Amino acid sequence: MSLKKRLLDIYHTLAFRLTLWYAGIFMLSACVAFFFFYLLITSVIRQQTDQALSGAVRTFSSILSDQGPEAVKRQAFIQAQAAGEKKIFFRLLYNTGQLFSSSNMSYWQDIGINRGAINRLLKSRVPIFDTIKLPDRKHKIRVLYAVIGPGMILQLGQSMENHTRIIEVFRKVFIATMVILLAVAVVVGWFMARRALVGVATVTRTARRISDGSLEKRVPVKKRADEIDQLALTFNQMLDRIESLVNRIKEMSDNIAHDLKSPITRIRGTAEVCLTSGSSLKEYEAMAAGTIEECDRLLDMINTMLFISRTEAGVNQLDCRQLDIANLVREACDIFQSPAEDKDLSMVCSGNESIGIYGDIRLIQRMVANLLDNAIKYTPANGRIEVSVSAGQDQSVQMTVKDNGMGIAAQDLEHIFERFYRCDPSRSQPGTGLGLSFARAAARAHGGDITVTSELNKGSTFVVVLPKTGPGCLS
Amino acid sequence: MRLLLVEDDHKIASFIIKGFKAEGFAVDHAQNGVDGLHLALTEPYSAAIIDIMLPQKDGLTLIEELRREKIKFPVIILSARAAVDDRVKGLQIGGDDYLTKPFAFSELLARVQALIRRSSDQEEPTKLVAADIEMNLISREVFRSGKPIDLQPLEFSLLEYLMRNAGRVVSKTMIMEHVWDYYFDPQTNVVESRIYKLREKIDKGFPTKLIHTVRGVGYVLKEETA
Repeated sequence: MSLKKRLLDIYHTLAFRLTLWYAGIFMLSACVAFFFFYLLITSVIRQQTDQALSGAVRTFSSILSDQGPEAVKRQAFIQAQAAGEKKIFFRLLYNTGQLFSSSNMSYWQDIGINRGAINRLLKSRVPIFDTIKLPDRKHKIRVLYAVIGPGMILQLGQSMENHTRIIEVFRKVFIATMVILLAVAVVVGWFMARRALVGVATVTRTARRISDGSLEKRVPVKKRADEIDQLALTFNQMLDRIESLVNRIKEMSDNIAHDLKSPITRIRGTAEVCLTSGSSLKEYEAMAAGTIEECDRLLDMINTMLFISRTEAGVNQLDCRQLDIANLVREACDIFQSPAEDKDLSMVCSGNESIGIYGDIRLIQRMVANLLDNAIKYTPANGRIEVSVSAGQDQSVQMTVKDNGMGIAAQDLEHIFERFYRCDPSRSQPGTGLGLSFARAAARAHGGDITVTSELNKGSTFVVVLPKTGPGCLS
Repeated sequence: MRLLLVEDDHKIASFIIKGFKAEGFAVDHAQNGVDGLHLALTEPYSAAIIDIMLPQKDGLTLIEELRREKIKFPVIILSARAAVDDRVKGLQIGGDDYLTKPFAFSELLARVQALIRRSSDQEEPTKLVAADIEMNLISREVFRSGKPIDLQPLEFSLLEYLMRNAGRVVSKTMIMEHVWDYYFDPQTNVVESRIYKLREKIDKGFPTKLIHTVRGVGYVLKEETA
């Protein structure tokens, strides 16, 4: 069972399958090469045999014309004996196919005379070759029929012993070579596959270490700019991003924990001191009032956090209605006019008379309020806040809140929309650190967005762009 | 006035009962849907406060059955869920108002009183009077002890809300919601700032102060008694 599983595991490895492919393709090409080589050799040998046979025919032909048939008979006899009677034979025939003379045919008696071949020969006068395989003989026989003189036909046969022997040697060489090649192919293939995949193994090892919890590990990059390096680089980039995300989540949950724990600590502490120190009714009243305030703040924070995460996860349903955003901004200005005056800020609101859009009025109210809230909080006395709203082209609405307050440092600018992110100077102000995150989540839920430009000690400008009918309002 | 409260959480029930008794209501309490239905069908109530998550019979079913039995007193639904869908569903099956937990008691009180007022078909007044303030809702004039007081529109709305709830504490959230139609309380103290300005106009120069801050809870318009 476990052996089967281990074999299966090996079978499933990429290295194994690459090796298999490599060896397969290598062997196949070797076979093809051998096959062509084989064809070449056999054809060369046959040509040699045929040439020898043709040469003999020419000799006999000239002997026949110079010295007559008896000389041919003698010559043939001598030739057959010289070459060996088991190697070569000849028959001299008349045109009619009748036997005139032959060499010692005791070994060759199974070979008859091919009438068809003789007829064809008489018609075309071109020598005819034939290959015969006798059932109990090891070697094939090459036979030639040729006209060597008037009314005289020569049947000349030669054993193809050399041919068979060479083929046999060839086969042995072939098998031996293939075994060696297979071994080489497997070893080389395995080596190459492993070498190619060694980078992948490194990436895998790193990934495994990371899943054990060490997120700061990175895959070493060899600077060869090959595919594995690309993989390692991409993997490292992904890790960088994950690490920064995880760090931010950690930081955020620390912040959440801190921001949720502090009010609870205050509530608990105040109540405890009140109970244990023999307080007056007035102190109890103050404790109760403080508890309510802290609870309201906690509740507001939790609701806002829930809203932001739901919106970011895209599960918040908008309660979309036709609304006049110009009027909404005017009303917000009215509401915030009073606290602005308290701080000796001048707040100027301008914009079109009326701009109709589809949106969730509560979210947009709160988004606008949060921006005004911030502007008032972070602009010192005698400052100026300008709020404007205008219908843009392309079916969108643009709202701008500009102040000449303390501004935001460049290094903080990219973080201010993050939950609980508070720049150092803002820590002294009351607030949850959720206002801008909420505003951005609300804008994005409507298919819009918020951008900010700011200069330290010169002021900030927040620009909200909303589509007149956002994708969030279409369903 | 007699109220029915159907709520299974003892602590919540106890503070609601205590609060309403202090306001002069008689409160009957049922801890589950079945007892609640029985009480609602047998006793005459001015209004009912019904929680949605109840043992034996849930609040929505309870309200549906009440309406089927032609019981018409106003019902306010309490729920821990704030999704728009739940709210709509609650109002569709016959609830008259919907309040999400956790809530401020003052808000529950104000809503119950508004529901009772509406169901008893009281005519909309044209004039509000509280202590020595008179407010004409048609001409939008305000007098204190016969002396005209000049108010901005937002200040007028704020005073109107305080006068309609004279003697009762209203929270900042309630003011934001009813006066400015804002469903949250901004960080910057918008309400406090307005109240301060309203006080300057209403109370300054008069021997009795009418607008009082109840720390942690909200504001109340009443003659100082203590």
